[in-house]
Amino acid sequence: MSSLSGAHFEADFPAANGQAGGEVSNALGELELIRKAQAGDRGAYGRLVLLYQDRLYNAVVRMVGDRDESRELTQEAFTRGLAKIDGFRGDAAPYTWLFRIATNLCISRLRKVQRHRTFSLEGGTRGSNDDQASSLIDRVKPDSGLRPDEQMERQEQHQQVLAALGRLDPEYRAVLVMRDIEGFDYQQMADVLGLPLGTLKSRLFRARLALRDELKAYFK
Amino acid sequence: MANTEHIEAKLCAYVDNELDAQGRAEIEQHLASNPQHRQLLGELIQQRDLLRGLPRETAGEDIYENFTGQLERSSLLDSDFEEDEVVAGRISHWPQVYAAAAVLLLAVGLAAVIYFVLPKQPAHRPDFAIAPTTTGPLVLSTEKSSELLIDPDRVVARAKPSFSGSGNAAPLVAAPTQLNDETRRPIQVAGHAGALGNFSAGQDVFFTTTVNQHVNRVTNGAVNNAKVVVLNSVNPEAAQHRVTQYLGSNKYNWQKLDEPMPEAIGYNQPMVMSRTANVAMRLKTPRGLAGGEAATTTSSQPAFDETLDLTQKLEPASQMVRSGQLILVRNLTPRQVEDLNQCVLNLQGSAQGDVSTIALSGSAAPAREYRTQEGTFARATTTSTAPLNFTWRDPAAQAAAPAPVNASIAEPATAPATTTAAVLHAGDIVSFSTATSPELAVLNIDSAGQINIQSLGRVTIAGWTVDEAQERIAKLYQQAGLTPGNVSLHAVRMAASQPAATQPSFIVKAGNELEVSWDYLNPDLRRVTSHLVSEEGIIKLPLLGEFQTAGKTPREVAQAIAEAASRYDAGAGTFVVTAKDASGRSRSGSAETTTFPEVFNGAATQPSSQPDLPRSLATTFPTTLSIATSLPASSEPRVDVVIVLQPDGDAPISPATEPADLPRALPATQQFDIAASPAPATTPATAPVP
Repeated sequence: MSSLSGAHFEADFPAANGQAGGEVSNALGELELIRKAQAGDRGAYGRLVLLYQDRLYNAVVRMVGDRDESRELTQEAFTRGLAKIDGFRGDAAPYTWLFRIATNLCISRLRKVQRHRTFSLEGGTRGSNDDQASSLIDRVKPDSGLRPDEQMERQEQHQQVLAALGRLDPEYRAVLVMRDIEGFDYQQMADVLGLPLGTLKSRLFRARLALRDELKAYFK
Repeated sequence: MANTEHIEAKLCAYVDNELDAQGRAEIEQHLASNPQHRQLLGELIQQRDLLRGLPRETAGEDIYENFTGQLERSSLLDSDFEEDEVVAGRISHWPQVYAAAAVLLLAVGLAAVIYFVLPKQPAHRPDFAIAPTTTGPLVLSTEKSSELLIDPDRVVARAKPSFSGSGNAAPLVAAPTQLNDETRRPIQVAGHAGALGNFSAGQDVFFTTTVNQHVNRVTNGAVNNAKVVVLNSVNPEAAQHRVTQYLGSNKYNWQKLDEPMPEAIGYNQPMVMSRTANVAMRLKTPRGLAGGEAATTTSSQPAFDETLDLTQKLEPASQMVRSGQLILVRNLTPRQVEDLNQCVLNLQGSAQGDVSTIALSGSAAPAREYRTQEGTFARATTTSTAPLNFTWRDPAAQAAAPAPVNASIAEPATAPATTTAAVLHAGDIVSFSTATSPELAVLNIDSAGQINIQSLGRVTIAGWTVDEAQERIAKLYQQAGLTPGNVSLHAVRMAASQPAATQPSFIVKAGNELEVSWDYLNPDLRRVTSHLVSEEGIIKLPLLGEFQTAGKTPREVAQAIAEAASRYDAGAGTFVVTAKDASGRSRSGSAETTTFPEVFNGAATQPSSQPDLPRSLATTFPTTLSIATSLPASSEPRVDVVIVLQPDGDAPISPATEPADLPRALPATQQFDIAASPAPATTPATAPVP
């Protein structure tokens, strides 16, 4: 098993939350917090929430698309985490453990939404996913430090990518988010999804192909 | 498969730059000879970077705050958070489940109380309840009050009968478990307890002497031991279609009877109850009737110089069956009778909504007389020139559709009436209502081109189209500071308004599509049907049969149709035939039905004044039916399909024994073979005619 420390992410990505970043900056600190939480220190768990909330929310919103729904799912993931905290054995990093809870919630929600929309008379899967994609697009903020035309171009690019992402199956979305947005390594992803490494890579490759199909227009 | 997965895993690792040097070299070697694959992987790498470059979203403080708030609440409530998976801000479904379970429990409890504790037959319960027996047909038992209650539970409890010897009866409808609350509604047969006589519990009311004598008498002896089944249907044609389909597919002998005309009514004779029971009629003076004066009166000068609203004097009860809605089923074994009963009940209980209630009965009726103080009245009658000066009062219809008179005209939803775009002229007749005053007023456009609206006074509408006139009236209401809601104006008759002379005559030919608007005064009968003129120049109308149209003008076609329709006592009506000419312009012609002047006064109109009235079996069936189903018009839909069941043992009517004055439309008994027979004539009017 590869390193499941949260430091891995800290190396790749900026600290998720400025307030918490300095206070708890490594996996050991996170593990300490979760141990305290397991001992009944809810304040410690609250600090974990503060530490992870932005990052987890970002992953969730890329999977689900809807901001309010993502906020709700993120909060539910934290709540479930606390409810199941005794089940945390320390095999994985606390964040990975919480991420697994959140991913399961997201996939479950997305499947529900898809099933629900399949029964409606109007539109197909494509249309429903377009809804999600469009809600994602709204949230793309312009990058600073770019010329207005570059900003426009970048924004358009993001819009296309998010729209394409929103049209994928939940499972494909999840692996792409984990790998390319969250920066998980293969082993972490396999742990979260409960898949063998080979299968995980194969699914990731197919997800990439599917996304590429959705981005055909962009590549042309 | 495993190999594919392996290759995909390798390619994935290549895209993610996770391959070792050897693996990477292998791939690149392959890509060197496959530019397409190289491009693909290049795109995947590019796409990976795009994903990584997406901006990050932040959650803000909400999640933390909500979470800590939830923690605090759980602490205050001293609840074990670990076991509480309820998320703050989310709606838990458990309370809903508990609530539903509680309601269900309550309902079951109530049902149990009602079923087991309450008396089965409370004193105020209806007088008749169907008590199905295992051997015979449905039986009515009587109590003292005057309601007929069909108890579907008891019917449902019976196994669906299957009979041998007649083939396997296909189910008429789905399982009887579909009986719904609607069917539990008691059917009112007010006033008929006495008429039916005093029956003891379990006695079959249909085979009583009283009923048989009556049915036998009204059928001129053609039917003995009849049972009359009346389906009270909101869509009689559909209901009848289903019944006849069922009969046909199960090889029942049946025949369809055309709607009879009511018997001629003489002075002081009881009036046959009919649809006119819901018509407020206006009194016609004896003077107005003398010497054919009515026929010579111009349309702008109503022949009715005195009015009397008879609505309150007429029983708002029975309604005549519609044309072609009678079915006579013959030569039935008792088992078949039973089966049909069951099927009819199933039909009633089906979820398809064709039939809402059902009544089974037949009896002699107490005589009903409707006389004015002068002993004279006109019954929904007109001649071709006399204006139709009566007002419909159909509370049920108005309650169902308060304002849009136009909507009822469009029924069945095929096409709108064709006359709305035409310009109104003096002499035309319009109907008018508003949302706040939904009672439909039928108004004449007088010679000044005006109509008289009660709250507005005289309003000129001649020269406007119906829509324009409607808008204008609405505006006048506004100007007067009145808020009547939706104003609804509709042309009832515009025959005089079409300046046909200004157009070169249009001749119908094969291939034309003719639209026939059945503009009956009775809104129930209005419809628009479309017909393609066949190669032989013929169109076929529901109920009315075939018409030769090629070589005729639309007006001539309309005249022929109106003439045929005049055979039916459907009240006054106008048939408008519309065709499109080569330029796509609508060309129409219209003609009115000539209803017989069923007017009687002190001098008693002779029956001979009525055109060719059939007087026999069918003639008085409405009477029978009206007795059987004296349903309150205000709350019940119409009674429209009647099935007369005649058990075995009665000789079928053969041409030789058929009374001379049986209606012409009565066909000889036929063995209906669904494969060989054409579709019943009552298929929906919109069905295309070959």
